[in-house]
Amino acid sequence: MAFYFDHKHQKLDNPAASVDNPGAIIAVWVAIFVGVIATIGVSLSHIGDSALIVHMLISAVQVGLVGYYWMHLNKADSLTWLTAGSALFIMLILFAMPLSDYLTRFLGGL
Amino acid sequence: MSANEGALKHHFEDIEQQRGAERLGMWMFLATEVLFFGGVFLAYTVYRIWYPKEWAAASGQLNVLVAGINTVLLLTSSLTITFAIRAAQLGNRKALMNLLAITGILGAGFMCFKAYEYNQDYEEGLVPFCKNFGKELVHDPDDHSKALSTFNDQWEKKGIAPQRIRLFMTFYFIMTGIHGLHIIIGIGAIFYLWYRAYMGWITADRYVGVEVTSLYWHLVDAIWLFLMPLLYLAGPHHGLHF
Repeated sequence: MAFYFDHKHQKLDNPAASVDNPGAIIAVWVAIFVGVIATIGVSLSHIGDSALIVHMLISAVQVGLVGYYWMHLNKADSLTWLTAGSALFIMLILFAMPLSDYLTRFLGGL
Repeated sequence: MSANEGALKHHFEDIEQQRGAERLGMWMFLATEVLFFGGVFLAYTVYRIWYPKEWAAASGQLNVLVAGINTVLLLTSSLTITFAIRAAQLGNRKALMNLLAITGILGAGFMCFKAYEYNQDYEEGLVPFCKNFGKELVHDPDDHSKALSTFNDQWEKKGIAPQRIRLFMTFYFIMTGIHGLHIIIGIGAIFYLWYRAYMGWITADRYVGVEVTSLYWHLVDAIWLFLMPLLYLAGPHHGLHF
């Protein structure tokens, strides 16, 4: 714990008070690792084209864990959430628009 | 006044506002990175849906064992950099230096395996736009000294267009290449942090530099969690081999 200068008066600054729990850090690593094993298991299970969807779902959960716990979205302010959410929302548009064209061409032109 | 006086820049109200601004700046950069990679993933998605058979056949040529090892290395490096933030917050300089060094070494290990894999791809004639593409001999898995035919012949026999295999491999090299470039930049940033820690410049009140770098490193890790199944597990693999 230490004091810091805020241009007007001293305030307490205690970075040690907001450290992550080591058990939680390791639990996330184990969960992601289980996801990796599940990903490989799915690819060996001969479920065909559905494997792609299951793979992406597992990856999304893994990345969700990384973002929420390791990238500290669980402690982030609303502006950070807005920035992260904006990235996902714009990426959704990025995917939706071109795919709505490329993946419907077999239906023929207008 | 304590050493913390220097940590706070004059244009911030207080230290928490400054830390929030530093994190937000990195998150904004990461948002642009998501869109940068998103474009490549989009193109990949279109061709994977158009050419599923060729994508599966080409993916089956890649070394899934090396990809698995690299996944473990990268995931573990994300673990160690998260512990590095904790060490920085607690003011534990020695632990911080050790954890940053381990993170950097794991990242370097990832790139070493990637280099090995690229070399193997070249030797197997899987590098697009190289003269030997698809011309290398495929050996009998039971009797390695016995050559069966070339990759091209085998693909054509199965009704798979070698040009589409070439397209997949182009995606493979572009996606893993830009990801690898991000890893190299991340390793540089991590060793720079190590140097700062070594010099005693990262005190507990300046921990946010480690946290901001970890955000970038985690994003690189997150991208790999998508790349790995998309590139290496899109097709059947016949056992694990180096």
